[in-house]
Amino acid sequence: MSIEVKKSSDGKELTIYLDEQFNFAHHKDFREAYRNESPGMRYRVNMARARHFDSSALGMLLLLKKHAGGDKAEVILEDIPGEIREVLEVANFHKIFTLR
Amino acid sequence: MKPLYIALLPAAGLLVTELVGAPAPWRWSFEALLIATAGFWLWRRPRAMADTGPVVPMADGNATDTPTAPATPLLKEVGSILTAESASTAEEVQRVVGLIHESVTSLASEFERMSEIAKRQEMVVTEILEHSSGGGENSVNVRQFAEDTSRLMEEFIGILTSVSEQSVEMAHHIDDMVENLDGIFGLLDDAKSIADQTNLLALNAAIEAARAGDAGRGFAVVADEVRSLSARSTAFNDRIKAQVDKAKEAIDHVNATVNAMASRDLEVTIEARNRVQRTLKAVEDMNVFFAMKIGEVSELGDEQVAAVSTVVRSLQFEDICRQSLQAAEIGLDRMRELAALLENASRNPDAELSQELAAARSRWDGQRHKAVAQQDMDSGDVELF
Repeated sequence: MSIEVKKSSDGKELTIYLDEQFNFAHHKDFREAYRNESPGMRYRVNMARARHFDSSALGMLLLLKKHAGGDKAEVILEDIPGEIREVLEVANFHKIFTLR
Repeated sequence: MKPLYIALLPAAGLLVTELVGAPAPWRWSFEALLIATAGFWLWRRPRAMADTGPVVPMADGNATDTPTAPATPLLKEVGSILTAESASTAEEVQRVVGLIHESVTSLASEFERMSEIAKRQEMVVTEILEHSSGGGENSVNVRQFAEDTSRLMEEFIGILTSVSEQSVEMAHHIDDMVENLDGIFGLLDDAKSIADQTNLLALNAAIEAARAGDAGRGFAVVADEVRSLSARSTAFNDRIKAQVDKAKEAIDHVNATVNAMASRDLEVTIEARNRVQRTLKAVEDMNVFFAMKIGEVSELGDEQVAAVSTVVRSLQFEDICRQSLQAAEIGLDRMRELAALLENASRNPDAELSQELAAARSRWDGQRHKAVAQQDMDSGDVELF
C-alpha cells in the first residue's frame, strides 16, 4: 500500500490518495506524485484512509502547496478523519488549505 | 360585700398580667388602665346608687338612706390602695422609661456601627471588583496570561510545521544529490570498461610485438606501458568509487537526522494546547462566576444598609412610648388625686364627693381631648406605628 494518484479526465486536476501512514518515509513517493506536473494544475489530497499524522506530513503538504503556486493556488484537503482534522486545525491549516 | 369584691377584680387582673409576663411597656400601661378602671368604677358607684335608688344594697344592706356613710371605711381603704398602687406603678413607669431610653440608645449606636460595617464591606467588594476586572496596574491578569500562553503555543506549532517543511525540502535536495551520485557511479562504470578495453588492446599489442621478433621489441615496451596505464586507471576508478560510497553513507546519516527533525509527534503538542484552552475556559468561567457573586454580595450590602437605616428609623418608637407613658403618668396622677378625694370623703362625710368627682372628671375630659388631638398630629411623623 502506498500513495495513489489519479488525474481527472481533462488532465487539469490531480488527486493524491494518502495511505494509512503518511510520514517522512513517504516523502519521496509524495513528491513524485506532483513533481513533474506543470504550473496551473489543481490539487486534491484525499485523506480517507489516513490515520496518523506527524509534523513531517504537515511539511509535505506545505511543499505541495508551494509547488502548486503558493498563496494564490488552491489545494483541497478532503475526507479528513476527525483526529487528523484536529491536527490540521491546531497547525492553522484551515487558513492555508481548503478543508473539506 | 359586693363592692369590695368587685374592687378586688382589678387587683386580680393586675396579678394575672404580672404572672403572664406581658412586654414591659404594655404591661404597665395595662396596669394603669386596670387601676383607672377600678377607680372609675368606684367613682361611678355612688352616682349609680343615687340614680337608681336602692337597687344594689351596700355592705350590711342598710345603705338606702345615707349612701356614703357606710362606705366610709371602704373609701378610705380604696383610697390608700390607689395611692400605694399608683405610687409603685409610677415607679415602674419611670423604670420602663429609663430602660427604653437606655436600650434605644445602645441599639441605635450598635445599628449605626452595623451600617458603618456594611458600608465598609461594600467598599471592599467594590475594590475586589475593580481589582479582578484588571483595572489595577499590579493586578494579575489571568486571562491575558492564558491568551499569551495560547499564542505562544500556536507560534510553537507554527515553528514546528515550518521546520518540518524545510526538513522535507532538504530531504528532497538530498534525494536529488543521491541521484547525481548514482550518475557518477554510471560514469565510473563507463571509465572502467574503457580501462578494461585498453588493457585488452595492450595485451593484443604485446602479442603482435612478440610475433614481430626483434623488429617489434620497441613496440612491446609501449604495449607494456599502456597495460600499466590501464591498471592504474582501474585502481583510480576503484578509489573514486570507494569515496562516492563513503559520501552515500554520509548522506544516509544526514537523511536519518533530517527524518528526526521533520517527524515530530504532534499528540503531546495538541494535548498541551487543549489543556491551555481548557484552562482558559475555566478561568473565564471563574471570572464570570466571581463577577456575578461579587455583584450579588454588593446588592446584599445595599439591602443591609437599607435595612439598618429602616431599623434606626424604627427606633423612634421610643418617642411614642415616652408619650404613652407620660399619658400613663397623668393617669396615675389622677388616681392619686382620686385617692385624695376618697380619703378626704372618708374623713369628712359632709364633703360633696360627687360634685368634686364631677369637677375632676370634666377637667380630665378636657385634658384628654387635647392629648388625643396632639397624638393624631404626631402620628404622621413615624410611618411604622
